[in-house]
Amino acid sequence: MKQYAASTMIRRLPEQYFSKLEKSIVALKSQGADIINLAQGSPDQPTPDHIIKSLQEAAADPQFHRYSPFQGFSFFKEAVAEFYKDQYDVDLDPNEEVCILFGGKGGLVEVSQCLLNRGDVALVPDPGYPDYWSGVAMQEANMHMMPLRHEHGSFLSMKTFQLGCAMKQSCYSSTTRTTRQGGGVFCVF
Amino acid sequence: MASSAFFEETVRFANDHDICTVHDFAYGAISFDGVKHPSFMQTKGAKENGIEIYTLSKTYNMAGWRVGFAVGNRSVIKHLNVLQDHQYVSLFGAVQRAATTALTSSQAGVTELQQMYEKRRNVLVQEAKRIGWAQQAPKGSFFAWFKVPNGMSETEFATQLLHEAHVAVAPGNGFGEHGRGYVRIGLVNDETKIKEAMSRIQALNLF
Repeated sequence: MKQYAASTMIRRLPEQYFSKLEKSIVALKSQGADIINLAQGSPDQPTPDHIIKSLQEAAADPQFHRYSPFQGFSFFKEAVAEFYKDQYDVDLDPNEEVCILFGGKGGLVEVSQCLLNRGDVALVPDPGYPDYWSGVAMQEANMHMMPLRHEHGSFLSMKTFQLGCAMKQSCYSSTTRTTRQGGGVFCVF
Repeated sequence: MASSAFFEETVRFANDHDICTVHDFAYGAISFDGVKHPSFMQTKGAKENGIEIYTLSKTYNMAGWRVGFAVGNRSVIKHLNVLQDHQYVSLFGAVQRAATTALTSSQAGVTELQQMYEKRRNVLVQEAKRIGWAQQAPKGSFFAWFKVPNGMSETEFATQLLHEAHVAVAPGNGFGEHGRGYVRIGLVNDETKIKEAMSRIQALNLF
C-alpha cells in the first residue's frame, strides 16, 4: 500500500499520552481482568431524559435536515445568553459575544488557530489538560508553562504577577513586535 | 479552582501584557462544599480581555454530543466564527435544540449530579484515609490529585496499581512536568467501585 507523508503540522502534534494507558487497560481487560478505571475522564451517568427527548423530537423536524446557519441558530445562542444571565448574572450579546463550539476540546484548538502565529507564545498551566498543547503545536507557537502549586487538595495557580515578569521577558525576546501586535500571546487556564 | 481574586489578578496581568485570557470552564457546575465556581466573565474587564469556554459534557453528561460555546471578547468570537465558516456548517440543528433544552429547563438534575460527585469525593477521601493514604479533599471537578507514596515515581505507582490491583489511575506527568509525584483519580465510578478500588490498593501494602 502506498504511504503518504503526513504534513509537517501533523508531525508537530504532541504524542497522545493516554492512548498508551488506554491500550494497557484494554489489553488487561481482554485477558479477563476486572479493571476499575479511575483514570479516564468521561462522565459515567447518562444524559437526562428530557434532553434526549428534545433531540429525538427535533431530529424528526425537516428544518434541521437542511444545512444549519453557518454560525448556528439564534435560539441556541440566545439560550446561552439566558444561561449566563441566570447562573452568573453576566450579560452577553448572543450574536456578538457567543460562538458555538464542537465541544470544548475543539474550541481550545480553534483558539490557537485564531490567535497564534509562528513564534508566538501561549501561557499554559502545568499540570494542565494536554489538549491545550495540540493547537499551540499546530500553529508553531511556543508554550510557556505556568507551574501550579498543590495545596488543600487542588492545584492553585502561582501569583500571576510573579510569573508575569518572567513571561514578559521571554515573550519579548522570543516574538517580534509585529506578531505581538496581532494579539499573539494568550494564557489559558 | 479559580477564585474571584485570582480572576481579578489575571485580568490585570493580562491587560498589562497584552495577553488574551482563555478560561476553560468545563467543570463550572461541579463544585463542592456549598461553593459555586465563579465564571471568569463575572470579573470586571474579563469580557473585554478574553473568553470563557463552556461545554455541556460534564454538566449534563453530554460528552459524546460535542457541544460547547465560547463567550466574551467580540474580536475573538468573530475570528472563531470566521474559522468555523471554513471548516463546518454548525452543529446539527436538532442537537442545538436539545442543548437549548439543557440550558433553559430546570437545573435540578445538575444539582443532583453535583451532589453525587460530592458523595463520591467524600467516599474516596474517607477510604484513602482508612488505608493510610490521607489526602486533602478536592474542592471541585471530578478529579482528585493524590500524592504518590514516598520513593515511587507516578509512573511506577500507576503501573503497579494497574497490574497488581487492576485499578487504573492517570500518572500526573501526563499533564505536565509539575504533575510528577501525583496521580489523577476520577470520580466517574460509583461509590462501591471506589471503595473496592481502595481495598485493592490497600492489599498492596504501599502505605
